[in-house]
Amino acid sequence: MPKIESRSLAKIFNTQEGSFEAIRNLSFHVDAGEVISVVGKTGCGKSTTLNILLGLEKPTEGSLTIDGKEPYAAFDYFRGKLCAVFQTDRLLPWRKVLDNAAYGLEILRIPAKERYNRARHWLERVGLEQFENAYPHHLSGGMRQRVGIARAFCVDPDVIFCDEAFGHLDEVTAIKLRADFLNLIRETHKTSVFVTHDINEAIELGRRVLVLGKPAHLLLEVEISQETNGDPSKRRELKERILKTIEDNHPC
Amino acid sequence: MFVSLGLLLLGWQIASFFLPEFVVPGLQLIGLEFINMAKEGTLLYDSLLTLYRVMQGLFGGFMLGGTLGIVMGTTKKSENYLMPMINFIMGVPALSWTLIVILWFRGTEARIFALMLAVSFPVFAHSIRDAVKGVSKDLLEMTLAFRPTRSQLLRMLILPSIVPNVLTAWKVSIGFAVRVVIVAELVGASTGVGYRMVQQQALLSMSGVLAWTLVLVMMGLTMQGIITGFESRLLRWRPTTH
Repeated sequence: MPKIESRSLAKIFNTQEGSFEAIRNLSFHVDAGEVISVVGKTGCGKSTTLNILLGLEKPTEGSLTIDGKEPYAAFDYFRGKLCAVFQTDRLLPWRKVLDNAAYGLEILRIPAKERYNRARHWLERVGLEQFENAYPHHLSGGMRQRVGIARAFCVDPDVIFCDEAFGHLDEVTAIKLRADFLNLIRETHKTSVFVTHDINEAIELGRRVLVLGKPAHLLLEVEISQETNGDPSKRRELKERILKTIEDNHPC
Repeated sequence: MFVSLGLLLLGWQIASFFLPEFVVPGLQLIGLEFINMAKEGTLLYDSLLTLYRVMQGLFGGFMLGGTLGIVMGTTKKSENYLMPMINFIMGVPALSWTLIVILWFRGTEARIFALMLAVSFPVFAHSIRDAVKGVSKDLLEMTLAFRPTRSQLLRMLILPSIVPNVLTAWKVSIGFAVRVVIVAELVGASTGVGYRMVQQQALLSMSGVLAWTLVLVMMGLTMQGIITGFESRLLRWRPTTH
């Protein structure tokens, strides 16, 4: 059984101005320990898909299951099992870095001593051990995002989602952070889903890339072999192919 | 600040040389009043009593209004029921409340407490509801992904988020509460700063009225100062406080 399975997923929002279709007949699966990327244009329903994965939204039709359970319905089952690193850092501004990193563990009612040990361990892994007593506003954007990464790994989740986490950072910081994050994912063998609008990033991070059209449905699915990733010309070729697929579906 | 206040006092003192004592008494006369008040023991007793009434009423209003605000901020349905009532109560003028509580209650303290509660809780309810509704959706989603219990959500996200708004609501309410409590004491009490002021007025002692007024001004300012102190302690995490 795949870790994550989406079958004919659909999501329609009914607002006062009418209804808005965010996801249309989206099917995909992710195996345990697999790392995939989901790429699509901004506003194509990627974030809605992520919210359904996290159990924050309910599908209108179809089903989405993780471990055979619906994230929205089985609220308690997924306590501490799903984590996300978001587009913006989403740190609590009144908590110091250490308490931000330990936030998830506090919700899981892990005793203070162990909580802080684990938080310190992960802050060290992301290179922020010297900043545990700083408030988020003292840190740079990249450092804040690192705290967000530590917070996610801290609870030792089953699945890590990553929603455009590097999109707001400058190129140099983004490259470094992407590489560090990928290393942590590989080392911990976490099932991971990277949601991004950056095709290069999608190819670099995922072993498989799902290309979404608008409203979110599967346009193309490609395996990324080591060979493709290592060869610049093959990567460029693949990028062109993905770009064309997206363009054909929804010209700008 | 000192220069500005100094000029005010200087102007007053100069005016006192030209105008009769019952219109503009000199500062030395007001000072004498303070000494008398202190000697009689009323300065400390009545000031503290009024302060106690203000704080007790505000605290009650904060508890009631805060609870209603959180309930309204978290459930849409309760807001539809509660908001019109609260707005209605808020529309009743403080002076009407003063007369109503005198008819409703017997003891002075009960009357004043009811009055303070009635006028202060809607303010807290409104501002705390707005604050709860304003809790960042991003942070809410981030927290919900960890699956907190309702009480964890309240304790770890909502309450810390609304601290700045709560402090602002207190600052606004204090000034308001001091004014209302004075009216209440003026009308229906035999103790407290408001009562002492009517007494002085009956004796045609302008300096006495002014001395007690100064007590009130200082009381209001001191409490504001204390809240500001809390603010800089509790909101250390805010970039703007540095």
